[in-house]
Amino acid sequence: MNITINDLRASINGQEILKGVDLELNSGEVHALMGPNGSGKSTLSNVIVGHPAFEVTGGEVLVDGVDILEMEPHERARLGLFLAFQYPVEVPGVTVGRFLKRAVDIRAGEGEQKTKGFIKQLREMMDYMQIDQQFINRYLNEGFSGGEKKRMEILQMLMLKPSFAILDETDSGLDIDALQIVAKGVNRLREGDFGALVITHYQRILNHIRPDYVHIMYRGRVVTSGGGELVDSLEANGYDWIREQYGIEEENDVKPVANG
Amino acid sequence: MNSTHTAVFSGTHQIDRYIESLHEPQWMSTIRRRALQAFCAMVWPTTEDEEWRRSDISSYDFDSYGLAPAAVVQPPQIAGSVDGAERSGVIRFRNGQCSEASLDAGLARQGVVFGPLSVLLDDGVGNNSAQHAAAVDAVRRLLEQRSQSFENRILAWHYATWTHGVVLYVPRFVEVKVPFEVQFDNGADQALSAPQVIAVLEEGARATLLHSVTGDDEGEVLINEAIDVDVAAAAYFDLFTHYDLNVDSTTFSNGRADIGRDAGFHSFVSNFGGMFSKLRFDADLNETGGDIDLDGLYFASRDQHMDLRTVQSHNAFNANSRTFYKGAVKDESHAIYQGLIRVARNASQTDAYLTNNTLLLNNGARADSIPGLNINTDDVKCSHGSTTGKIDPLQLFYLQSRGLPSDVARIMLVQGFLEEVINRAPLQVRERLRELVEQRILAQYDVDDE
Repeated sequence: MNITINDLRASINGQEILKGVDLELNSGEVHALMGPNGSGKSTLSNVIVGHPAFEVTGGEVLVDGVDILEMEPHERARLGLFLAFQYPVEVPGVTVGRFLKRAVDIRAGEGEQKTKGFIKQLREMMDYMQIDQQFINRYLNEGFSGGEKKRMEILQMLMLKPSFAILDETDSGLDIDALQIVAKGVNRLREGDFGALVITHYQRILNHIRPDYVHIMYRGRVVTSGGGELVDSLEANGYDWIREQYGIEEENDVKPVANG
Repeated sequence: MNSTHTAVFSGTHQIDRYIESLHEPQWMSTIRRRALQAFCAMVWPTTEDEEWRRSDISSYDFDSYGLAPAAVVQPPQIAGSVDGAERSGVIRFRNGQCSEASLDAGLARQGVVFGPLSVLLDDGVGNNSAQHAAAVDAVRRLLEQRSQSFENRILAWHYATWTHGVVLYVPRFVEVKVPFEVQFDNGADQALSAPQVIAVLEEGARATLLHSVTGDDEGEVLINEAIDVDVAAAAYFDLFTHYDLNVDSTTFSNGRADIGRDAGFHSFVSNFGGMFSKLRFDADLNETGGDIDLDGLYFASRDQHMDLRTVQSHNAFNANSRTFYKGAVKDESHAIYQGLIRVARNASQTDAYLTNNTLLLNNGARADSIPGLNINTDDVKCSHGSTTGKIDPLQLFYLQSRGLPSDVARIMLVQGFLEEVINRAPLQVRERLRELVEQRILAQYDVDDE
């Protein structure tokens, strides 16, 4: 899967957050997207999967050459796109097992036979993610701790096997054990035809998921891209370095409100 | 049933003749006549009455509903073994006639009485056992107490005219694990049905009753039901009540439970049916340590009107009550929930909660939620909460982002919303409720058809 983002602009409540994002992503690659809070990272991920609160004001997102911006969220999911949410919503009354069965059946396709051995596969993945089997009968995300929610996002990813996944700050708030489990989940899919955009504020997770490419986002744009060495520069110099290098002409902009 | 015997059912003289024709014990006739007297002195509830403010019955011509009185039927076989042990006993009525009655023989030997009310009252049946006498005595005491005053004319009308009924009597410390089942089924050939459910659980007894009021797909039926429950000290009773009548029919139901010392009671009311339904359940915590749950599920669609009321009355020290009603409204339907927590002056250390949540599935459907507190003492914990809202767009987006089309996601969210209360219904009925919910969500309603 190829994802090409050209001059993407988007706003929420009339305020422009994305101010012309250009990015190219492919299955088989792992990209890291870094940047200070408010730079538009979460907005970018939500716009790609079709969050209704954001308004696209310009540009395009092409998946294998086809613009997906007019598609419904479920149509984008069926192309093989997946977002691990930064803040997954709670869905009372809908059990993890029931929800995932339905989602996996739909992902398998209408005409094809229903997923065989679903429960066996689910149990195996839950073991792999060190999620208690009792969660199958829990209501989706309801009463989950922050770490349990993040692991549940990765479990969904493992079950749905997307071609390209975006992980929106999946690392934040996780202790080192949980972080390793989440990284394990991503690395498991990496063996196949799978790509990921790992959005993070810190380089910590990138020690466990080594990115092929690193992009820095600042004030609604991807301001620089490179290899793993960019992470080291950031680590050494902090985001002030970005601000000094790319922020001068933006000083008069209004401060973005969206988180990420 | 012969329609030429149809009598005008709300006329005083006709009711009096109806009572005459029944050949019931003197005490029952006295209760009926007392109710008839009250009936004559009262007027039908109007929208001036707070409880009826949103449910207007002024267009009903109650005189137009009739039935053949004094339908004396051969008593069915009561004692017999229940096959498969899925039910401890089953009683079904079709159009007021008992069509099936069974009771586990072992339970009968332990003194459990479960049968048509008319059979219990008929001296001619020849059951002179001590248990039978105890059951009759308990029913008599309960109904005499109920007929001291009547909440409204509909209830007085019921006690004057009840057409058929069932009695469940569980003696002291008899614990019945497998549920009993009662069904009142109605067809178009009978216009009015005034069924009575009586359940008496003596000290330390335990039982579950699954009760349903159903009808044919077509034909107008008027139900005027009363449910009277007495749960004695340390007893526990689980009562599931289900209403699913067609959209031409009307249901009035008034339930009342007296809860004894350290006794437990769980009521689950499920309402899917009827053009118009007005259901009320009162639970009176009359002794210390009573503990009750009043749960409710409702799904209103098409142009149905549903009005549900619960009253949790605390009349004694240190009792607990929780009410949890959840429903969905669809198409052009209207659901009203009125809940009251009443705490008497002597009922300190009361712990009472009331929650009502309604989901609006589309514009045009309406829901009113009216929780109330009437607290007359200090040192209580009481609270209520109610929400009325639409499907959360963020939940919808979340499910869609996993590949579920919006209609599939929507159904899943409505089911999930109601699942929280369905999960509290007796195990045996949950799947049926889930199926009904799914059917009603999927049903297409064309406004122009009506």
